[in-house]
Amino acid sequence: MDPYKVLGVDPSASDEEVKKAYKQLAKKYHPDMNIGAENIAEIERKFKDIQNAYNTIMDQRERGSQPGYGQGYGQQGYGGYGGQTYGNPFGGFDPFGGAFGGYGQQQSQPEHPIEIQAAINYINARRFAEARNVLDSYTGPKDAFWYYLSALAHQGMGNNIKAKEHAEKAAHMEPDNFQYHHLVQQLNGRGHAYTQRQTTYHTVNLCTGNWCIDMLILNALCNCCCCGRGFC
Amino acid sequence: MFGYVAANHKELEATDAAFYRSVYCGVCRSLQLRYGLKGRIILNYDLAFLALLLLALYDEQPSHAEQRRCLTHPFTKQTQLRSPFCDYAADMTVLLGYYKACDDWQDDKNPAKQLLARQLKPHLPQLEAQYPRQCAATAAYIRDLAEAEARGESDLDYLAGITGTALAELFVPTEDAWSATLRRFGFFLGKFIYLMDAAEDLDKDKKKGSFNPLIAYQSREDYAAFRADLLTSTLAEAAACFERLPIVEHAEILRHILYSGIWLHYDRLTAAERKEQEKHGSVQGAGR
Repeated sequence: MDPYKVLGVDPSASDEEVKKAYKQLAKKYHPDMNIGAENIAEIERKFKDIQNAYNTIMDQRERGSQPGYGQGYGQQGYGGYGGQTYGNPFGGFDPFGGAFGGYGQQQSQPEHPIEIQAAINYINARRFAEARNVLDSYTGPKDAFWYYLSALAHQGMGNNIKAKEHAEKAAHMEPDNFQYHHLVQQLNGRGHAYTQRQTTYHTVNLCTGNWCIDMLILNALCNCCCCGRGFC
Repeated sequence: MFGYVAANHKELEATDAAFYRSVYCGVCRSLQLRYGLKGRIILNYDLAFLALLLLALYDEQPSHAEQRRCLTHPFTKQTQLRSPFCDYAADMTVLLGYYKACDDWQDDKNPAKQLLARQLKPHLPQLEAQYPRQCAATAAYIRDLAEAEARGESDLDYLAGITGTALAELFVPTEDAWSATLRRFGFFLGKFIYLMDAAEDLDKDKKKGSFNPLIAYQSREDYAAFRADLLTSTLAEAAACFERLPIVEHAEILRHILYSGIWLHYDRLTAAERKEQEKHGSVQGAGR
């Protein structure tokens, strides 16, 4: 069912509006609010439906704004947000098939060494730790494509630092490759979104004042050092 | 833990600041009721943040405010928020506090830490029975970190991930529709905390000859930019998780923490570095 219909909002609604709509329905259908209700089974089902609808919308929006951005990281129980499963782990586009790729998942790409093909398969199956093992034990030359795959495996495992490093290395080794640059952009996307939002909140102010220490003499010291001016 | 995840309460609206404070005092109250004074002394902002986050996420859960004088505020009554999430944050504070105290005692033989560990230890069986998942994660955190430091591990993702993996579990009180997002949130916030701590302690650790993975990077010409990028990109992952949670009420307080307050130590660090540089520069200038 259309998740927007479940929450009763328009697909053009802002994130904030979706959150508000969810909250309103959650208050109505939360099982704790309906203790003793006759139709409790139905209410519980409805509550699950609105939670699933909310997560589905957030997943879709994330993939929409950052196509190809893998969700979740790894198999250690962290994988994916919200319990939705998708056929394509990479969301908006499949890095190895379709729109941008010549890198097939099918057997029709015999040019990859068997270990590299195995890494591709593992990444597509979201089995990132296994992809990592295969990539790390690969003894052939580490070309740009190896670094690209390595970046994807690291990203899937939550290794954001190495994911970025390896994606940049791949893009540096093959500056003409669109796919590698695209991955670098995606990996930097969250940072950009963060710094953009940060401008609303952040001014450099070197003293918070700890409430319980406020009571003490430190308060006086604190007031001296705290001039509240912004540096940037 | 480290107290990085705090708001700069001067930036908050008065009502938001009052609510944030009532949560902080609420966790303190839970600590007092469940663990006595020894619990209160390990109260920290990081877990007060967790209480606030869970309160805002599960706002259908009942909570109420109480007015009370306390030891640090004997004259004016404080508003203390009472909620199952303040209790949960208090339990997690003690759990982390116990393992940290044991670890600190082993590292620097600080007798105060040994005393604290001894005081907290009787509560452990109860915590282990109630929160086996969180207890296992915290024990693994201390163990894995000690092992990694002993072998001189240099992989920043791995090292920061140890703290991340522990915080991931602490961020999930119960498995439900939000646990995947909360885990990921805790994981990247934990990574950020580890990296921030390493950045802040770099000079101190270098002098003392203590382990610090950033020592290997400090000589880089672009170290400052590298460090800023490291911290921002890691925190950005955590913030993205926050933005997907259905949080409306109190969202602004949480954003103030995640986008501003959390940088306080970093801002102090860079301000001190800039001052040092200016001093250095003016000495060089005078010499010429």
